[in-house]
Amino acid sequence: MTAFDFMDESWAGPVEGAGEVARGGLRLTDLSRRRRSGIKGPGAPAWLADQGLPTPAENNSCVMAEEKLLLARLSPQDIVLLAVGDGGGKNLDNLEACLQRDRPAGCYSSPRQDMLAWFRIIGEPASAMMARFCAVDLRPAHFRDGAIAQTSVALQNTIVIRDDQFGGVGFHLLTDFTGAAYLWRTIADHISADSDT
Amino acid sequence: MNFPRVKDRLPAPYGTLIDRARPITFTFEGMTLNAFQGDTIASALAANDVTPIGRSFKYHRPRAILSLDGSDSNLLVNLDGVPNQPAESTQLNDGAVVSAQNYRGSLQRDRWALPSLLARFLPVGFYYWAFFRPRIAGKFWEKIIRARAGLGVIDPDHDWRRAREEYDWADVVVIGAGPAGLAAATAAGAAGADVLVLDKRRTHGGIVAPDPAPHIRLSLNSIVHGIYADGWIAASRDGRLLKVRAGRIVLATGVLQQPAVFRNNDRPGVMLGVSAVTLIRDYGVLPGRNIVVVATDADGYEVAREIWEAGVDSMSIIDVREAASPDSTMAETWGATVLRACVPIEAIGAKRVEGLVVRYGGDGDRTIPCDLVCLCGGTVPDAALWGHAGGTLAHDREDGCWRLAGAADRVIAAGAVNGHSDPGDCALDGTAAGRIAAFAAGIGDDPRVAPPIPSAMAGSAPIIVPHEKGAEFVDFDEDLTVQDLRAGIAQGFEHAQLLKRYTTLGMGPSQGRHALLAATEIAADARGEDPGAVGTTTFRPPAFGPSFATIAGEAFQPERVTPMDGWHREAGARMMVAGDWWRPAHYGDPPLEEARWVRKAVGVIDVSSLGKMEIRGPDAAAFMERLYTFRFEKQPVGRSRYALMLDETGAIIDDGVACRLADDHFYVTTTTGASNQIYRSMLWWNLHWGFEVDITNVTGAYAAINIAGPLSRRVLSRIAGLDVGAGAFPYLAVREGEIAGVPARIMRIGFVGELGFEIHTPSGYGAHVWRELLANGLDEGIRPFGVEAQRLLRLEKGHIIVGQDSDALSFPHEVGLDWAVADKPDFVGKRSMEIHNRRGANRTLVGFRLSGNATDAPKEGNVTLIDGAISGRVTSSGFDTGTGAAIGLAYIQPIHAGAFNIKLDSGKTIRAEITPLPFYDPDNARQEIDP
Repeated sequence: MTAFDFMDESWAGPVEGAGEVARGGLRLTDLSRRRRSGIKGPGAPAWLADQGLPTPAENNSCVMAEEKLLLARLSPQDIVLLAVGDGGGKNLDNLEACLQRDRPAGCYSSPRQDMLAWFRIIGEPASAMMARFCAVDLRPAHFRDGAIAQTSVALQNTIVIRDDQFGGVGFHLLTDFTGAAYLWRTIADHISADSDT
Repeated sequence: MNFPRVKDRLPAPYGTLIDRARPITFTFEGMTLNAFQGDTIASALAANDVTPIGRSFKYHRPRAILSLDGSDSNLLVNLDGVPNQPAESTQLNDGAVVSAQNYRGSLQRDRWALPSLLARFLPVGFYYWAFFRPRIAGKFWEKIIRARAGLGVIDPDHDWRRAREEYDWADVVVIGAGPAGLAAATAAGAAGADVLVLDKRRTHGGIVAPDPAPHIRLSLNSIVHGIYADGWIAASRDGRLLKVRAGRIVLATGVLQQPAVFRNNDRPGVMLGVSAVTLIRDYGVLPGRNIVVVATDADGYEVAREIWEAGVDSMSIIDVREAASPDSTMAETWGATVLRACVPIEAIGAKRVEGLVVRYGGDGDRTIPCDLVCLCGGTVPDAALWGHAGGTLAHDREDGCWRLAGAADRVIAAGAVNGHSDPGDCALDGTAAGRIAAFAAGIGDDPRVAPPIPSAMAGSAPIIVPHEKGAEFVDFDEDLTVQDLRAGIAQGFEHAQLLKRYTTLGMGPSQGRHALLAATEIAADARGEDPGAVGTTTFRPPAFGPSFATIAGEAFQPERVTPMDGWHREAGARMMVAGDWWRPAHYGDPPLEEARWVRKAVGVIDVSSLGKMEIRGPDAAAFMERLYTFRFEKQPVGRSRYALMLDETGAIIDDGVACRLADDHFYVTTTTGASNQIYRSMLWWNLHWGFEVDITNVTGAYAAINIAGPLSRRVLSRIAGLDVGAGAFPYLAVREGEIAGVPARIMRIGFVGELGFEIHTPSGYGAHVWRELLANGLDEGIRPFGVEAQRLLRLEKGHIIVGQDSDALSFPHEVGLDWAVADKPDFVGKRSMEIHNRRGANRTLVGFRLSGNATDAPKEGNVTLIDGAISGRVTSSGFDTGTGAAIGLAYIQPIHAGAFNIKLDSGKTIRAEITPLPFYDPDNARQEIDP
């Protein structure tokens, strides 16, 4: 049971009025209307492999599959899938349909679409800006492309994924749907207020 | 105050920190003054010859610059409405409005200033045995003491700047950008370490390589407040809190020059030698023309030379040592008058120093006219941060000086703080420290550094000249004199730690950094022992006091909203905070009216904040069986069941509804405030038990709406894609289907005591379903209701709210939940609960009702009384939706029956009748109503 197939233009997303804030070489974008999903359970990696999708070899890392479908491994039994490119959404539709139909043993759907809001912050000062909110060292030399931090951003549980494929240093921020407005407001306020990162 | 005399600034290269091309104006105590961009408040006031700048804490003596260290309480000022800004380190901006603190009347004529004669009636520790006898005197003194206490006045209406904070990381953090610090940074950087150099000054004091490694960052204006465990450093820059994680720390903080102790050593115009040099060098301000330098070692001559070179009218050097030295000979050749074996006795001058009385050999006392006295009374290591990391100071009896001792976690000292005085030695020591720090942080090869450079530091006896008339200050923050310390020791407070607590020595903003040498010497002398036996006090953060706003940082306050939040606000709901959540308290109508409408027709409430967990896997039922008190293994699919959770002590920690969606799948709700805690608890227990279960916290993934009231089925049936009739959808049934065309889980439950359904739908659909329910219930009069009405309705039904009607010591049988505890082999908290049951309950939760005409409803928390003694407390209070009578839940002693009293906030006592629960619909007939 997920909301993705009902989304239409009238749905504002978890943060009403959000869209994009750009200033001082930084761009914060609300991607919450994009497709994402999750698969949990001890059987998740094997089942994904059966579907032709690679699972990252290590926890807190991700790999990019075809059609720009990003697979993020939070733990051996918890995979988040993000349709970072336009084609990835359809893949996820098919994948979820298969999961519901086959109900493979030890494999459970995780309603990431409705659970997590999805923001992306891009720009050379992105890691310096994130240092205002997050105690994990996200500087480029210390947090490689494809690394994941399951951490706290502005005191809110957030999954941070470094992804540089959109021009410059970039981070995906996945945070609880219900706290998304707060987090958007907090980061956007910093970007708007000053850019001397 | 006399109009100040503006001093001409010294020509360049003096004044390295001021921009002479950018003159600015500011006001101090209402006077408009001139300065340059780059001036601090203190340097600008010195340039304008303004004195005093502040008043001392206890005796309100006039004070001005002492150390320029940024920590003197006497130089805390109010800047643009913000109190307690250090004048010594705070830069001025054009148009700044500055005022002094801690005076009554005017700064020049402070009515609170105590004549020296009166001071003897306020000896150290007097407040421990004054003011409270006779008893009535306490109230008299309290007003006076409160009026005089503290420094600065907070303006509650001040528009505070928003505090910011940021994290930083480095393999090696170097504290102090002098010769040793910069050498350490260069060496660590060369080894490949990521290096951060922090220094509170605006310029570094060493040599920076022309092309430093890119991974060496120099952060000036950065004050380090404390070092904590695991290399955690708290610092601030421009009011922004910096939280720095260091692999290793090189401490290169240097030494602290100490004052000399003699009568009136606090007069404006008496300052540390290093302060005068800083004014000259950095700000181009010559603080006097007729100078006396009080010296105990070569440092004094160095200070004298720098001041002399700036151009002065006269220079006298008072050297406490008897023997001539190359320094003294040299000083005489460049024109200074050197008096050896000479001690300062008393500074004279009422508001500023006009002369120094000295005792010179056998010639008796003589007065040297002067307008500046520079004190160079020896040095001690700036060891506060060393102490934060676990290190100590020890007195070196042989060399007569204080040295770093003990081990400081992750900290390596270098340079002057480590006992070196020659800049070249400091740099060599820094280089070694930098290599060692980098290697210890896991960077580079084993440095194999040369053996440590022998320390060349030699101690010098502090200059302490007690005076029969007192006013020889040791601690300038706390107005402590030689006599004060001696009195404390005489009363038995001999150790430094005790002396500190009794006299407040070192408790001011400067943390005793300029009192250490003299205070330990005075204590040692009084005890006839070595200063090392007296010991030092414990160094605790903050080394320099940041503002509360800086400490607080940004104070992030996460908040959660439901998918229907926008609708609630547009509808005029008064929102309330429930845990992290914003929820509608009500929509304008009194909560009692909203509640009555639910009883009468139909209402909807947003309950999305409920915690929601998916429990899936072959062992899901076994997991539920062991975690909760009820039975779940045989719970039919498609049914819900009340779920009560205890902790290991047997106390209630949560409740909710467990829906069995499949043999291997439960969907469980928790209370709003406890969802994260329960999720963590579930994960922990599952790890412990090793069940094959997946637990997912889907609280935010689902919106939840409760539709309740006799007409609720009628409204729901219009948009339900499944049969919600009584036959197909009995009480406690759970179904998955579509509501308003979108997927939903629907439960038939009755928290508010009416026919009702709880709809859980993916969060993206929440607002859609909410709107559809309201639109399709229009002709039935459907209305939203808020949390306050919900609390009234459930109270009438006798349903408890965990956390409100229970606390950390509430057991099931005390609150009438025995029925929710199954007789089964085990569950979390079972054994503890049974032990408690055998002992018998201490209290019981009962319903009560006030008489019909009672108008004073009790409040939650009001105490219950039986025979005049406190018996318990009211946990819930509200009104009967039928009669309007006050009802509630309260704890009382379990043996009691009949009635009890409640004491209201007003002090009035009212009578409450124990009433069987529930107050409303005891036969649950309303659940089956079908109008």
